[in-house]
Amino acid sequence: MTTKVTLTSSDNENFSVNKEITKRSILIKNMLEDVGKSDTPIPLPNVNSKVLRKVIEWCEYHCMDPLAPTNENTENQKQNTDIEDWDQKFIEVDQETLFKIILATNYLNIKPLLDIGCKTITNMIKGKSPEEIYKTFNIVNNFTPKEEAQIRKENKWAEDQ
Amino acid sequence: MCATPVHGNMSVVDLAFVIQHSFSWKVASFQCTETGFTNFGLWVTRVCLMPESLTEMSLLYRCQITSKPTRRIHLPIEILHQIFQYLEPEECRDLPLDRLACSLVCRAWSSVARSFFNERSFNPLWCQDHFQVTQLARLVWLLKEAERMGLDFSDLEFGEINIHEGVFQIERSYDIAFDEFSASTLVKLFSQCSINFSNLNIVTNNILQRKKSNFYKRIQPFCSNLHALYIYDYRGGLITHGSSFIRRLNKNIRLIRRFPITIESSTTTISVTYRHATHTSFTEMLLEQCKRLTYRFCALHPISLLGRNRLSYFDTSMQALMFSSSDLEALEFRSKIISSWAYVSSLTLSRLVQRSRYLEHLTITHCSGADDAFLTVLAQSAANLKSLELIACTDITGKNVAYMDEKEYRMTELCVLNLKECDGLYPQFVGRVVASCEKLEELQLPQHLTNNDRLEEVLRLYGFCRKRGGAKWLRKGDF
Repeated sequence: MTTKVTLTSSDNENFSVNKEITKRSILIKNMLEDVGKSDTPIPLPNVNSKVLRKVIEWCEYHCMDPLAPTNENTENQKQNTDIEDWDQKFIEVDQETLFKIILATNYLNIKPLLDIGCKTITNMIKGKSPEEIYKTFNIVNNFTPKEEAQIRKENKWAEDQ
Repeated sequence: MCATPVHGNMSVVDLAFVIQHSFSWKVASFQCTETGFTNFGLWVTRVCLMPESLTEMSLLYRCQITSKPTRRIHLPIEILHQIFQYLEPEECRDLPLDRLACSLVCRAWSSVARSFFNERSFNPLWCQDHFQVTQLARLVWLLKEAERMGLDFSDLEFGEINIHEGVFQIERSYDIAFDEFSASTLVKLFSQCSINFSNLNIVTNNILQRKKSNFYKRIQPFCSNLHALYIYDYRGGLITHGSSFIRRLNKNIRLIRRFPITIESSTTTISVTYRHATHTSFTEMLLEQCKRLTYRFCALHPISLLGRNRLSYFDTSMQALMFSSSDLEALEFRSKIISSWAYVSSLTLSRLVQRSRYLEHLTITHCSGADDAFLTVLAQSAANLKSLELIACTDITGKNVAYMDEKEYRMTELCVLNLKECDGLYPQFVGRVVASCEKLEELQLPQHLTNNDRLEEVLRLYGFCRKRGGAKWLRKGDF
């Protein structure tokens, strides 16, 4: 019999998930280890139900994957922004959700999914002009020359260290 | 008309006002999608406007309003860092232009994106195929954008640029000649980054000469900071169309390397090494730029000396050297055999040494031009000569010098004298030089004089000792 864990989203929706699947998240894995045997639901105040549902969907699909090795080989993967077909389909969401998935996976510490999210954003940036980028991501260009000079000064200071 | 972008955090009321008063369109409907943004305030993403007149029904305009949500999602710096890490250029010669674009987006992005830049990010730049040209064009555009936004990118380090002007390499399956687009892109780049360029590498293969001379004219104003110029000029094209460019370069230029000729210089001395030289005009233009000069001719590869001038090439070069205003300090002329292709006339050599008051080192090997007439002139004029090597100059006897009047003989500063393989040499010449040059320390005799008893006697008289029984004699204070 597989043990189930209950996760509670920020909008108080409960998700009953296979314990092994939740261990994809380093955060939850550590929590479970700390708590030991307990049936109390795990609250995830930074993740809403919509996003949590997506994340669980991903974890369920990838439950058979070997657990990601530690960060050593990130150097090799630096340039590779290819995303597997299923993940590509999975991540085809509106930008709002994409950002929230990234934030959620960062919080839950699910590195492979975080990578997919980051790669998706990287692919959205590639070849674009600055204007296209801040339109795409709805960022306000908050540069003023004065501020810029300040940034440079700060950077210089940091470089000198 | 309605596609005119409406910027800023405009409220719905403002929007209605704009629509009513500026354009004669009626608001047919507000289509508000993405209802999931309740947390972020109203974000109108799409407004459909319908024209008043039915005849214009076909002109249904959609107005994309880019008013921003009241709260934006900010990605934490570590996530931005990870995203930008994936923007690593695919190949080492590619430029991190996506990161540069990101650094123009906003402050947070800028500081993260810029942390990836180092002194190798944009140095060297390559312009060797069409893909690289488009990259450079994008770089120029981004730098212009930065300038327009008032951002300071002067800390980006540029230093070296490699230009392959001619037909591009076919490596990346782009086989496009250096065209007007490439030229104008480079000119823009130079005008933008001239302060930072110190090295310029040009590979040229002499196609479209006229157009190219125009290209060099265009980049000339921005090359005042160049310290080094490398020219890989396989057919000598740059010499004909880029000569005025080279001539007008900054006097501070420290290194000009023209394959296959090398000119290295410190502030006062330039040494010129000719391996298989083909052009004289290049010599002339460089001589104008340097004051003290070491000149080396290495005529080792006769096959490469093709073309009309091949027989008199070295003679012409030496004449060019002679007529230049430079103060020659050292001259080497090395060839392996006496032959017509390495011909330098006695007259040219004589005039050259006559005019070179500061000549200190002279090396001539296998040269039929080095004869008695030349040697006479040398003895009369080379007052500063410290080292003289005449190797395998078989026409020399030294008879005239041997009996030269004391008043005329001025070659008194010699320290090293090498006369190896000068098979026609009179022993009297050696005796004369030894008697006149108090500083002479090293002497190498030709084979036929090694067992000359009288000469040996004279040499011992002046304090010379034979080195290991060979043809070399040394004199030191102790002997």
